Amino acid sequence: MISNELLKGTLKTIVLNLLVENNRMYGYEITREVEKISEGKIQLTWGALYPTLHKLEADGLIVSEEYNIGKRVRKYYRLTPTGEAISRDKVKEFAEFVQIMGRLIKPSPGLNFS
Amino acid sequence: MIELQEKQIEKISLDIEQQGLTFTPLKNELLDHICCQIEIEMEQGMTFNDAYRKVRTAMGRKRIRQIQDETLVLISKKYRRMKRIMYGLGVAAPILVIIAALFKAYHWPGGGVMITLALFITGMVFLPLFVMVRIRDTRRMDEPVPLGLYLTGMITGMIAILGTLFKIQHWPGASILLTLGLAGLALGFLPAFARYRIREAKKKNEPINRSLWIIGIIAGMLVIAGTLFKIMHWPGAGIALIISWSMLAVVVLPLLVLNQLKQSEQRINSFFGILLISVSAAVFIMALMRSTPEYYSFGYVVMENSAVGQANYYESQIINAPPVKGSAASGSGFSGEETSMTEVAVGESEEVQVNADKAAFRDEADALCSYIQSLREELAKNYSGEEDQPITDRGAIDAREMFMVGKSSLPYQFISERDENKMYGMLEAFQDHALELTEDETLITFIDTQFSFNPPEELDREKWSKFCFTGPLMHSIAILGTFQSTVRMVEREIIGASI
Repeated sequence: MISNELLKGTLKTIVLNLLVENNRMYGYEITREVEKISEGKIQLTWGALYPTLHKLEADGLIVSEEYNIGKRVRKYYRLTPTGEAISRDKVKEFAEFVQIMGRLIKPSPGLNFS
Repeated sequence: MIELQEKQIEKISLDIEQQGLTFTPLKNELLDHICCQIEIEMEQGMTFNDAYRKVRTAMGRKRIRQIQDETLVLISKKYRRMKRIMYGLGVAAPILVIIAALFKAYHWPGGGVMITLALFITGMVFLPLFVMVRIRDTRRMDEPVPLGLYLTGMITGMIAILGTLFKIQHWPGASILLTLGLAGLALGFLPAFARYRIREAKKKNEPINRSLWIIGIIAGMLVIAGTLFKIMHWPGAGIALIISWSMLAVVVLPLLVLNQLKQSEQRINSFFGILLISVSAAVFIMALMRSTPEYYSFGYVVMENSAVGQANYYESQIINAPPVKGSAASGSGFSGEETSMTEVAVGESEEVQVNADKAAFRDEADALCSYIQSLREELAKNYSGEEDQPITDRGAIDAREMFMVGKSSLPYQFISERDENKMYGMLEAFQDHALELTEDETLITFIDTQFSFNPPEELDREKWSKFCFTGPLMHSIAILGTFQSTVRMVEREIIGASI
């Protein structure tokens, strides 16, 4: 399990990148997808996910469309052009971050080779 | 694939609504999310109830209400900034009022500016901002906005605060503004607000302490009405204020605090608790600054006693002097006693004209002194102090006036412009008359010095009246006393010079 603390700074990047790959998604779908890809190691809580989605929408990075699914409403999000551009930047930034972190924090070889 | 039934969805929807979720876009989303989770569990063989229970325990520690708050905060930076400024001002304004009150009470410079600033901020910035935030919050929750109610509250509140400011600064139009603003608040806004709150609570099935609301609103209306009556000098103000303040202090405030403690998570309410406490603290501090120390007014008492003594002495000297023929002098304005005078015939005919002049002069002096005396009595009548402490400096803050339960407050300039002009004219005429009646150089110089309150060239008329009659009530009374004594003294010198 990856701790929430580590996830905090990357949540936006995760969401934006997922939307790049999947065109449009709704909230629950996003948590499922993250869980699947991370093999259960990352579980987005909705307490973190939904405020982030609304924030991204308010900032104009994503737009939402609502559909009626039987008796309930499903809200799909998709990227705006700005969102796409920012998503690219964020992914690039994150890749750089991972690289630097790998250099900064080297796991001990003994454990690494086991 | 399993899909939840309508009834089950409704149950979940009701559940999350009860947890305080009102922001519709988020509500729909969370509802869908929960439903999806339950459906997944049910596909693996669970019953709805078991699945629902499992999902609920897995929801995480964050409560639904908190998610909503966080979302709303994140949505708009501008809104967030506006809200922060509003809270800041709401705290700053009462603090500024307290400091300004301190400055005013000790006559330090800047008190007036600060009071003006604090009231301006409260009325013209905080209040509109607060209403804007309220309207936005209500809209975000997808509830109908009681626009009329908010606007009534804002406009009447602004007018009332503006009226208070005008009143404190003695600017014209204060009474009209205060009457309009306070009446609007008491009769328009407060009842409408109570009705709205109670109806809303009923609609949402919220628990509401209805009796607390009704008592609170009635007390609030009474306080406002009493304040208005007080300011306008209408009867019945004192009793209304005493009843309403006691209601607020003994019944409403404790109940309110208890209520607040029960539902401590409502931030907006605890904010108003703080506001309430700070304003009460301001009033309390002002109450501690009761009236003026006695020594402050002691100088005026000395001056007044001396002037009265002099006037009485000169008057008795004139009465004891041989009266002149044709005198119609019939009383002293000062002691109020009727003085009967024995007519004594004056033989020499060439003196008749002079004597008639002198008699007219004495009449004039009497008329002037009685007029000044009537002004003094008028002032004394308006005076509202306690018996053992007969002098109040109206510039300081008096506890009784703060709570507005004492007797009427007086304006800082106590003598009306009309009275003052009249007296000024009479004094001038009297001086001219006195100078006509004598050729003695020393006496002329004496008279000129005695009327030195007659403004010299560099001191215009307006300044003269400001110097003489602005300040504590006792100051005005004492100044009037010295005028009387001067008039009597000059009268005696003129009459005595010809005896």
